[in-house]
Amino acid sequence: VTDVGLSDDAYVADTRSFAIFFLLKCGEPEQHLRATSVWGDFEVAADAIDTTGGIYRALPMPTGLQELSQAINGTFQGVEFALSGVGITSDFLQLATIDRDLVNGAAIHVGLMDLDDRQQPIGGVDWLFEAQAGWPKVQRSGSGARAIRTMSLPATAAFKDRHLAPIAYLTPQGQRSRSPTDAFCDNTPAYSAISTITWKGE
Amino acid sequence: MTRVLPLCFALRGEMTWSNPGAFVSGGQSVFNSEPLTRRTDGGGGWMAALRGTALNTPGRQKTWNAITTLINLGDDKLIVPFPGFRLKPGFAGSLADTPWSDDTPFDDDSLFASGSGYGTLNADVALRATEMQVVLPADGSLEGGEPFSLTGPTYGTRLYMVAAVTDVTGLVATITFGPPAREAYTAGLEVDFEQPRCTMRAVIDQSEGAYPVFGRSKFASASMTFVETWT
Repeated sequence: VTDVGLSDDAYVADTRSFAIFFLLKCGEPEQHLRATSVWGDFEVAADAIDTTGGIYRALPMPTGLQELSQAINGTFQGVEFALSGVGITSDFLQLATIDRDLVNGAAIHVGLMDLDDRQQPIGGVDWLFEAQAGWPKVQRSGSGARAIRTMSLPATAAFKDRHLAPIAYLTPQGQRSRSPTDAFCDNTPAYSAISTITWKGE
Repeated sequence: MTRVLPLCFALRGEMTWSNPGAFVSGGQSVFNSEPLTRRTDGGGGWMAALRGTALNTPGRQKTWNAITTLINLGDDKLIVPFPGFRLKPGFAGSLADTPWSDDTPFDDDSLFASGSGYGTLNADVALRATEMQVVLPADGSLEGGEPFSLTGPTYGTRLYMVAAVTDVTGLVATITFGPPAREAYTAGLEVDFEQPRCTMRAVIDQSEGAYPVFGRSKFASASMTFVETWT
């Protein structure tokens, strides 16, 4: 089937090494936060996603990387990027605390790049996954010298619908957030499927 | 200031070096033979483990106490010497005794110790490059397998290994090395084959026995793990 470029000539076997790149675009003007699974710095040239290019910094080990299910069968649940322990630098902490508002809704891209047997790049980064960041969280588990601080960033891809379901309870808080002066839903907590509502007054 | 771990704690037999790496497993292979793994660390980094080094003299005990106190109270970074020994190239490894220029020694008959185990970079080395040109000292040669270190402005002193010598023209040897260059290095930089070393960080909380327990014989042993650091 040479017509569509699937001949043996076009086949390129996977190399035994690859690098994972994480790109977070947030803020106005847009700033790029770059991290990679590679130990050490990795400079990547500009492309369609990372429009300026730059140096990706080492994460200690990609231990907190979940399975990225970019499923189109409807089972996609969203993912959570987690970073534990000494990998949390003041930059990351600032994102989780001071710059929380910038991070929520920021674009996250995850890409791969094949590396040859001398660990040199083959081609550019294949940006495989795009998602929208939620609110970052910082957790601390354990105690004393063994306490581990974990920073996590929930993210959802386009396959997950973030809209309110068509049939849903309208809460006073939800209505107030949409329309601050509208008191229409203020009494909805009093409603229940098994209670009988007595309408009074004429 | 980045301190240097005393060489007595970095000798071979005391300290084991490794490049553990990070891999993604591809699951079961058909014949259960070749594991399907792919490397994701881009060449990895160095880890050094000191296991049960003997604190058997007052000097070693005090030195160890001073180390754990210093790196805990201040900058945790530490330069850890790599025990080269027989891995060193022929032109390095032994320090020559050198007198003053008028052939006289010091007052106590001791001499200068001078080493010749240094090369220089012949051309710039880019970030993450794995090939470079070294100007070797006269009569110097490399075979592959030699450890060396480069000191850059951002990440300090880093440890590398010669993978292969691909070309020799006069005193200039073209070599491949690993792990990939931690930062860009400029031509003329010293290539240290004499005392290869690496900037690392002690992982105190994963080091059982960083704080030794002294028995009744006043003997103790201590352990610590060091990891190449980026922060």
